[in-house]
This record gives sequence, structure tokens and C-alpha cells, in this order.
Amino acid sequence: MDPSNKDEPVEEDATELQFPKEFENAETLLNSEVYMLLQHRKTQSESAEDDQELGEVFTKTHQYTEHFSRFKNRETIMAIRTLVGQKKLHKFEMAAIANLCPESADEAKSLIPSLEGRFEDEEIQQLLDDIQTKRSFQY
Amino acid sequence: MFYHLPLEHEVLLHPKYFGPNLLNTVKQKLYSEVEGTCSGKYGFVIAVTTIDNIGAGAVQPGRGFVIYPIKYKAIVFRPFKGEVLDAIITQVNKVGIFTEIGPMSCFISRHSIPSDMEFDGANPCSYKTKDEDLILQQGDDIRVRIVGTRVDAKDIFAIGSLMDDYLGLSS
Repeated sequence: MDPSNKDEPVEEDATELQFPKEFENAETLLNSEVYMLLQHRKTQSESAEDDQELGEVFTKTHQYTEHFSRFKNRETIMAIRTLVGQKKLHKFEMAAIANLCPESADEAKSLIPSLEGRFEDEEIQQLLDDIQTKRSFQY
Repeated sequence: MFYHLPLEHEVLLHPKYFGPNLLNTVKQKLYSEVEGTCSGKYGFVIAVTTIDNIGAGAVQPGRGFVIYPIKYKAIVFRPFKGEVLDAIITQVNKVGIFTEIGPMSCFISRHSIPSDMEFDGANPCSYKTKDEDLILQQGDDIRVRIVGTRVDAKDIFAIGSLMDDYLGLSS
């Protein structure tokens, strides 16, 4: 009898960048990007005549991303994506760094353990400083 | 973590919708059938962003219904073990802290809270360090590491921990 069953959970562990195969190369989204997309959808739905209510999942996510969004406009988000895109980072790591905005290399490696050993601390610090600079200059 | 995923869904259409507005109805049904749902595989489907393709409708033998296979892209929220997320505290009690991360609830057991923090039952309930340097109470933003997830019918529930460095109250 075949011991393996379809429901067997995949060994997933973000600290080792181990994801189910659907998510290995999937596009990650920053909280700020999700906020902009949901905001757009909300205004679309308000201006359209149908009164299809946006559900609880939508509303909770909208509030959450609004609260934790760090980047205020498209230009900043694009600049951040360019910055993190220059390093050899997994899509998950890129989004995690942009969402959490760690201030030091030590904090980054502690929050995102998969970074450990792959970059020099100065390199990580430089990236984090660049992100902070972009944040402080956004209007 | 939020992802933008290509997904597939089948919409079953009753013949009463066969008319000039058919494709529009199929799209509306997609939105209402898929948005707000949750599965263990893809997580919470927050919103459909684009509809890539609506396939040819196949009439079901014996019934008048037609099945439309749809390929679309959606924003999903899927938590992973080991990832650190920002959360908002919704409830504090002596067994631990209840938080919400977007559409998902996350519970942090008393045993996953650093031992230098003690439960204070005074209203409002909180966890605080002896010198009251750090106080965790309802409404606070905290950083939590997901240590496990439980998929429950149509919901995902996470268990978190504050035991590592840089976790806990967000400055």
C-alpha cells in the first residue's frame, strides 16, 4: 500500500528558504504594494454602481497594510525594488527586508536568518541605510 | 507574506445567465466565489487582480450548466513557519497574547514570551517587564515569528513566538 498520501505537508521553513513548489519562484508583494492595489480596488468598487460589499478578509487586509505600509508612493516602491534587486536575494528575502526595514545588519540577520553567511555585514548595512534614506526622502 | 499568484478556478453557470452579459456574470461569480476564501495550499485569497483567460464553456451532460475554466491572478496571504511578521495585539490574558496579522489570527503562548515579562491582570491586561520598561497591551504593534500554522477547514491560524532578538514591541 502506498504510504505517501496527497495531504502530506511539505517541510516548509522560511529561515532556510524552503517553500512549497508553488511559492518557490512566486512574486512576493510588499505591504505597501498590497495597500496600493487594495486601495485602487476599493475606490473602483465605490465608484461603480454595484453594491457588492468587500468582505471581511479584504477589509482586514486593507487596514493592516495601511497601518504597516512604509512607502508612500509608487516612485519610492520602485526605487526600493531596484535597490533590493541589485543583491542576490530570494524574492522572499527582498520583501521581508522591505516590509520589516531592519536598521542594522545584525537585526536583519536575526529577523531573516537565511541572510546569514551570504553577505558581508557592511554590504547588508549599506543596503539597509540606502532603504532608510529613500524612506526619509519620500514626500 | 503577500504573494501575487496565478491561480485557476472553475465557474459553474446556470443557463438563466446565458445572454449578452454572460462573460460579465462569469467574472462577477469568480470574484464572489474566490475572494475572501482560504485554503491550506495558497493561503487567504485577498483580491483578484487580473483575469488572464476564460476558457471555452463546456456544457455538462445531463444538466444545462456550463463550466468555465478561468485562469486569473490574485493577491494571497500565506504565512510560513520561521518568517517574522508585524502584528497587532487584540487580546491579552494569562495564557498568552492574541494578535491579528491582516486576515489571520496569531496566538503567542505565555511560554513563547520572554520570561522577564510578567502578566499584569490589572485593567488593561498587559505583559510588562519588572521595571515597566516594556509593556505589551491591546492595540500595540509587535513583531512576531511564526513557529507553526494550523489549517482548519477554511481558515489558517498561526502560533507565534517572541523569544528571539528584535522581536516584540516595534519601536
